[in-house]
Amino acid sequence: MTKNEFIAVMERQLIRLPKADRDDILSDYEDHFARGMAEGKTEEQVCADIGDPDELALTYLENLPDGSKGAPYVPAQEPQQAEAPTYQPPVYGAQDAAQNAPYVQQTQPTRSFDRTTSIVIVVLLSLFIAAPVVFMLVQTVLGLFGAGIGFGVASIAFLVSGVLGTSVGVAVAIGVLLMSIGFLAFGGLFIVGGIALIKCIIIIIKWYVGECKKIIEEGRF
Amino acid sequence: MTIQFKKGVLELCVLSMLKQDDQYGYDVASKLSGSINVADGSIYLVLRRLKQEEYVSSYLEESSGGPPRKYYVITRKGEQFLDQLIEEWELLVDNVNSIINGTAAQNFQLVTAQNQSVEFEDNE
Repeated sequence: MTKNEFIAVMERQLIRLPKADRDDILSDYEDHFARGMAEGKTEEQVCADIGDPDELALTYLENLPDGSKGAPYVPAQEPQQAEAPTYQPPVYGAQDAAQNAPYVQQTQPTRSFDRTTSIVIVVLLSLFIAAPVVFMLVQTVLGLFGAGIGFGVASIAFLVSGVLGTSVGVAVAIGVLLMSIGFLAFGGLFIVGGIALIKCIIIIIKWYVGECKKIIEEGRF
Repeated sequence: MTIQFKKGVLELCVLSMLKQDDQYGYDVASKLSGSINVADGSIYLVLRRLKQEEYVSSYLEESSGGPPRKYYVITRKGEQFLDQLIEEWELLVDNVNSIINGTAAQNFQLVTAQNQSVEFEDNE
């Protein structure tokens, strides 16, 4: 098999991929052939060691960036079906500065923001939106607990006066005792509400931290 | 060697070599194919996968009398991943050796070939 046959087979198999990815992959193999032959090997020798182009291409298709395996890749942009193989080996000669740009920009999964910017965004979001919201929620919790405790104390007061005040009249005493129970229940309601709100806050915070991590890792919303 | 296991070992070897030195894909491939029986082409597969995971990045470098060649470089994230891989590898080697020597302890943990960092995600 010649170098051009090898490249042609790979290019045909990889036609589903966007051109940038395809060119990036094929440039690796162009490099490999160039180095191999510079060391005196023939195209056939390099081909013998390099592996089967169909199998190699298939494995590239299996490991798509979005994690899908083997599914037909439907590109969002250019209509791949109509495109004839157009891979041009790099033109040797005048090298312009653009060639030295970091190669990785073509093939990384798309980020809207780089790492530093995404960290800044997360910090700003946390300071100006998340923190005030959390403060508000925490204050509500404190308010609920406060009310609960207040009612609880009132309940005890009623209990004490109800017990002590049996001389005033049994009916009144019973009434006061019932109020004590009522206030206790009411206060308990507030405490329960406060606890529930705390659990909600924890869930919200966990979700928010997760989202922040994702923004930093992936560089987009 | 199963395919999965080989993939894991290849990643370990490629990252290890790149940690010692930035190098061209060709050099990685030729050094490795001396030791491990893999097709040269599959090294580029590994490099690409590592690049997608941001364990490795690449840049073009001028080479005299030819086109710019692609240099591969390990990233900091890649070095951390490599440390993890080495740890798992050494644990595996120890455990397998103790099985072979018949000195396996009552309960040991076989490390699988999958290198997955455990991230606790709340899906409530």
